Amino acid sequence: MLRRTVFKGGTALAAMTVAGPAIAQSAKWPSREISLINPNAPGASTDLTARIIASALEKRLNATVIVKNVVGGAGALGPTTLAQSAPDGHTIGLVAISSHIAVPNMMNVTYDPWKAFDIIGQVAALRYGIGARADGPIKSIEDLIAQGKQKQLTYSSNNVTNVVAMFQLAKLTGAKLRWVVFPGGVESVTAAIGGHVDAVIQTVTEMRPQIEAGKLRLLASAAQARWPDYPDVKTLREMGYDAGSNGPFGYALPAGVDPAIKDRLEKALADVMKDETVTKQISNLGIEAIYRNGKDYGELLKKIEIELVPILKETGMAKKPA
Amino acid sequence: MEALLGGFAVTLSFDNLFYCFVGVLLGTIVGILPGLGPLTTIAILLPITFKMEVTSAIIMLSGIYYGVAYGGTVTSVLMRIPGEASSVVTCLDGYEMARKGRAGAALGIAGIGSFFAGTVGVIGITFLSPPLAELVVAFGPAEYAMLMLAGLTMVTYMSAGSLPRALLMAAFGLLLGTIGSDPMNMTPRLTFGIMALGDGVNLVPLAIGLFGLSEVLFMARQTAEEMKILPAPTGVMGFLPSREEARRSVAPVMRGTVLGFLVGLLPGGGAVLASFLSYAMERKLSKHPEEFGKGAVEGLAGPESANNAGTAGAFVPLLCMGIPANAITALLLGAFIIHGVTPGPTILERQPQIFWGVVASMYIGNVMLLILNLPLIGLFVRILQIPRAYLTPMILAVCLIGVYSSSGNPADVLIAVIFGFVGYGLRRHGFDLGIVILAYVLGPIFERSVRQSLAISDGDPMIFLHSYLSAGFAIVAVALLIAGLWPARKKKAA
Repeated sequence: MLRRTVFKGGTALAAMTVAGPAIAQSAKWPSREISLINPNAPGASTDLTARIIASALEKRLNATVIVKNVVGGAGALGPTTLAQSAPDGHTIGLVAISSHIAVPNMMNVTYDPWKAFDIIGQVAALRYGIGARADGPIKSIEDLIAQGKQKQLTYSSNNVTNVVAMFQLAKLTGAKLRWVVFPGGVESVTAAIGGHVDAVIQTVTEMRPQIEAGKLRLLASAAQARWPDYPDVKTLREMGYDAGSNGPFGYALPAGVDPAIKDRLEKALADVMKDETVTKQISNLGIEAIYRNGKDYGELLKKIEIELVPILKETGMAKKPA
Repeated sequence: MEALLGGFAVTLSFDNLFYCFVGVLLGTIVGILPGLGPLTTIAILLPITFKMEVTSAIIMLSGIYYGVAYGGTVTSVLMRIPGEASSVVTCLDGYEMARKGRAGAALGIAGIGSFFAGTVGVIGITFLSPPLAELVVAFGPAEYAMLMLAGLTMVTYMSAGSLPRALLMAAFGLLLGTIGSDPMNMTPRLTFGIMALGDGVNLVPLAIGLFGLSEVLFMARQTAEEMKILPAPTGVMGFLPSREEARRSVAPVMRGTVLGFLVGLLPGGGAVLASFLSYAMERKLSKHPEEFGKGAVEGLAGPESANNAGTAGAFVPLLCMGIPANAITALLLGAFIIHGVTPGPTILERQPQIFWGVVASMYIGNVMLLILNLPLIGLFVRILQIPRAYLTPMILAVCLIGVYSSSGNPADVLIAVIFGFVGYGLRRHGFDLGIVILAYVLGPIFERSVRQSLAISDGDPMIFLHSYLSAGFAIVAVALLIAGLWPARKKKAA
């Protein structure tokens, strides 16, 4: 810890003597390649999105933007690395429920999620849905709830972010729904179509191939809106249950970057999100391309935290108070 | 059949042949470089493919994936550095063959075995895809739990020395596998607050440390005299195996191919498990089990075929069900989706030209890989002519760079060094390191499946016998265990 402080002090000193006033720094930016830290492995939907965004940002910033997969520490390594990186505008990183809510509430991390970052904007939101095996006994959300009141039902999912809607649904109706954790989204869906669990809550990307093949029945959209690809399937809220899962993600700078640089980045990102080829590539992934500026996105995360923290405690996932 | 010919028509365009070649060439190179795996390479190249035609893009990316299984052998045989996780087993007997001056033959057998297995695997995709893909769905947590249990009993077959020693190493591997996040409630476990351990010990630093770096330490202890023991490789045509070696390779290659393809179908298992199971099986079936670990041809030919067939097998659930069997096929799935193609049961109806184009390219890619790899063997084995005093530091550097490039995490380099010393210590005392890796890979899948099963059944253990598949694997596991312990007892009696 002490070493890091000394190091940071050294960098600051070097920055003062070499770079001079902040204006000079922002005029020179970007002076080298920009790294985009993604805490998920190559191939994850956030990673594929990051690569689309990175190549679109390159044209607008006139700099190389590389996606760095900083995977590890059960998701903690990426945001920690971002928080500790030099605030010179050459490092940005993914911020989402994991960096701001899940990780800090589940393990001890060295950063304060609400102080360590300057959010530049949201680019996408995962769209969730609840599904069940097409030829199984559960044909609708009403079936799921009615049978859940008779006996213990199970559902698969790979992430605590996904299951918020299910926890809310169970609480609202008294149905007994037990989450069985699977290591990946596609594994969850496979378990449901194989009849190993009664239902599944995952994203469109993971469920669509099986829905199209007629093996999985989409019972409800667990997102804020209906899925554009399945406009007939209602959302949980439309069915009268105040439940839904949120999966926004966006990008942030480490706190302390020259406001002029932050401003340029925020504008570039906003411009990228107006580009239809970009939003179409993101939508192709089954993800909603949705833009919010840094301030609004930060407020959205704050709101989700209030919903999620009780679930973390209920599942035994929240860290024990020190 | 007609559809497949249509696929060849797609692949034989100049563009697609070119991309296929680029893919397999990159795959070979990436396979040779330890650490830098197909996952990273495909991820880096993904944005470049955005502007390409979808079939060409998938042909190239797939080429990288199956090309890696060829290239991964080279450093395992020549330097005892597993180029890829699925080449760990090759270090055991492949390297010993090289020490006996049979490096060329080892690479030759691996290359030809890989070609055979890769091609048979593609034939499997061609004719068996839809029914096999259905089988994948039948595998739930209980089935996995019992399959992994059967896999873990292989420990008794892999040990050269005493059973207690083998079990000790298995326990060590299992313990390493429990480090990281708890599979159910994600709380950190045995991480001692060290963030680098949050996801557990990664396979690459573990394997490169235990195998590659421990070998460097052994070399460092050798005197100048001992270093000369390694015989110089034979001439340019030295990759041709002797008649005896070829004869002994045939059956293991066949068995490895079938086993590898079947195991490769299953999500989570894949090529790594396939190579270990093949090794254990060959050792059990061999008339010369005492040669294993000392340069047995069977111990090289079987696993090398199994990992290639496993790579091909992984394409079945990917293409037919949209279910990726591992991280790399998950990335390929992402590539499909970005290009607006949804792999799954509907792909054969809606976009048959893509499906068959990719399958056809795999036939051609395997031929390209064979042509590419065999002549290079003569070049590769010359690495061994470099004086050991220069070669050893080179191996050290390659190991460390490989570990770093696999994750970009400096902590992994430290972990690899630690396991280098651990591996050195264990090998000096005659412990079998392959078992550590086997237990480390299977243990976490076993634990997770057991806990998922019990969550589903509300704690009732009968779930493990609920289907024919899981009950069948449970019986196999018990039978393997009894059969594995039997000869040991007989020997004691005699």
